[in-house]
Amino acid sequence: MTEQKIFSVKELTHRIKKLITDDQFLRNVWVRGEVSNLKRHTSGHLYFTLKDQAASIRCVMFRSDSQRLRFRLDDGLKVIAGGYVSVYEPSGNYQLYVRELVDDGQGTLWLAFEQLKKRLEAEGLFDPAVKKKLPFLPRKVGVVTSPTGAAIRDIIRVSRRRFPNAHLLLAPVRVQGEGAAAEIALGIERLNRLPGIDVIIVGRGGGSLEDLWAFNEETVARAIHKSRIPIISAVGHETDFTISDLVADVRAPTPSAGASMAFPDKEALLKALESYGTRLRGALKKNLAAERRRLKRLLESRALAQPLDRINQARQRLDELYRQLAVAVRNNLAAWKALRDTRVAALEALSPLAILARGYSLSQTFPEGRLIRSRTQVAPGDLIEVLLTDGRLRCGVKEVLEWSPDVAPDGRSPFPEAG
Amino acid sequence: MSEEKALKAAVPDGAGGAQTDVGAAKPLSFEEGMERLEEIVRSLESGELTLDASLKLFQEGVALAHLCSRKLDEAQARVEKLTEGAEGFRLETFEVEDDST
Repeated sequence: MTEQKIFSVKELTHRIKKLITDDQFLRNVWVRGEVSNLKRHTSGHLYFTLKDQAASIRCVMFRSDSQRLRFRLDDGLKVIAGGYVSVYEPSGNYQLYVRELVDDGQGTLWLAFEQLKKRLEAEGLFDPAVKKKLPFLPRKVGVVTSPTGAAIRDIIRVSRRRFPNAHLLLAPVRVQGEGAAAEIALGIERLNRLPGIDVIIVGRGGGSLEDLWAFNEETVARAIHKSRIPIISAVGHETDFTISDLVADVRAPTPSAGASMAFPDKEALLKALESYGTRLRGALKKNLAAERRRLKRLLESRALAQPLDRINQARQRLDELYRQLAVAVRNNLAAWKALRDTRVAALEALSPLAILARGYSLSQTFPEGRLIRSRTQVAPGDLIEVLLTDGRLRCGVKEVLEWSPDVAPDGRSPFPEAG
Repeated sequence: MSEEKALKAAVPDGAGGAQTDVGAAKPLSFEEGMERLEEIVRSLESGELTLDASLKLFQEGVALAHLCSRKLDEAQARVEKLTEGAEGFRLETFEVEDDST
């Protein structure tokens, strides 16, 4: 029986290590695989596993090397790692010591997008609370996009349609390629320093992920976040989502939609104003009519009518009294008249003239004019006047005679009846 | 900060800037004006106001409607482009290529 040498673990491990490190091939090798189990040590060293469907190998990338990485390493990333294989004796692991790391193309952009998205979200750039409200009626709208291309044409066309006197200010930039992101960020900053701009539309027309990439860059995201003017992100088509869309105050699916959001519909607003005007006038008319009716009702109500009624009644009473007075006066007057007429008649009857008219005559002494009643008042030879109804006679008395007994003074007179 | 100055020179303050409202103590925005107008119309239509209050509100409403109408026409229809030259920034009229969609 051959004597087996008994190694210590240290010895065995060392032997294995030597085996590996002596291999020229393993001293400088490039490996393609997918990153998993990535751990970032506080020291700055990276520990991860590279795997494919059949195998996996543990990797370490020291800080000095990892600092040179132009992208951020993450699980799921497909990479090509360049380095050497060796053994870490204390744990008995063979490892790939990675000096260089290159991304393996496929899906890298997408991953970078995801990485930036996670990072900025953690910083709070996407926080809805931070988003500004768009102004209702902007005085000026800034636009950051290419001066050529469909986007600016669409924005202008839609703006003018919505709001005929729209005022736009374009900060022309390149929207793809090297340096585009910087230009876009600068455009946003410059517009922020101009007065009177109330909203900014940042965007471009449709394209591939690479074409739209500028709007996924951190510089653009930060510029949008810093903008004191509200920003509408209008990149690509409906299904394209960019970091700009997430940071902006509002996302528009297309540049045209962005213009629609920036401006209100002037036609609709004018109609609304007209409607208000009509309603104002209508309401006032109604109110006036209602007031008039109220007043009318008040006037007609018993409370108000009664004083008037009493006045009318008083008026009526007054009229009555007047009438009665008039009647009374008339009646009295008639009575007086009647009385007067009677008396007058009586007077007239008694009037000497009436006597004369009846045929009697009156005698008077002449010239004294004393009525002769008796034969004793005259003597023969005196002058007397006899008054008749139509004149007088101047006469001389021839004889004065007494009534003889054969002529009775009882009325039977010798004088002829007055005709 | 010369770019700042240059930018300001291109668009002097007050060009198309906020216009103070005629006779308003606190300038109302268009939106605020419309909201107040809506309130006024509702109030008037409720029919619960005295004639005096109705008249006052009506006057305010008419004034607001005119104010809002003026605001709609304030913006000057134009498209400008911010260009950078040797002397600084300036605004040019932006010509759009013919719409050939």
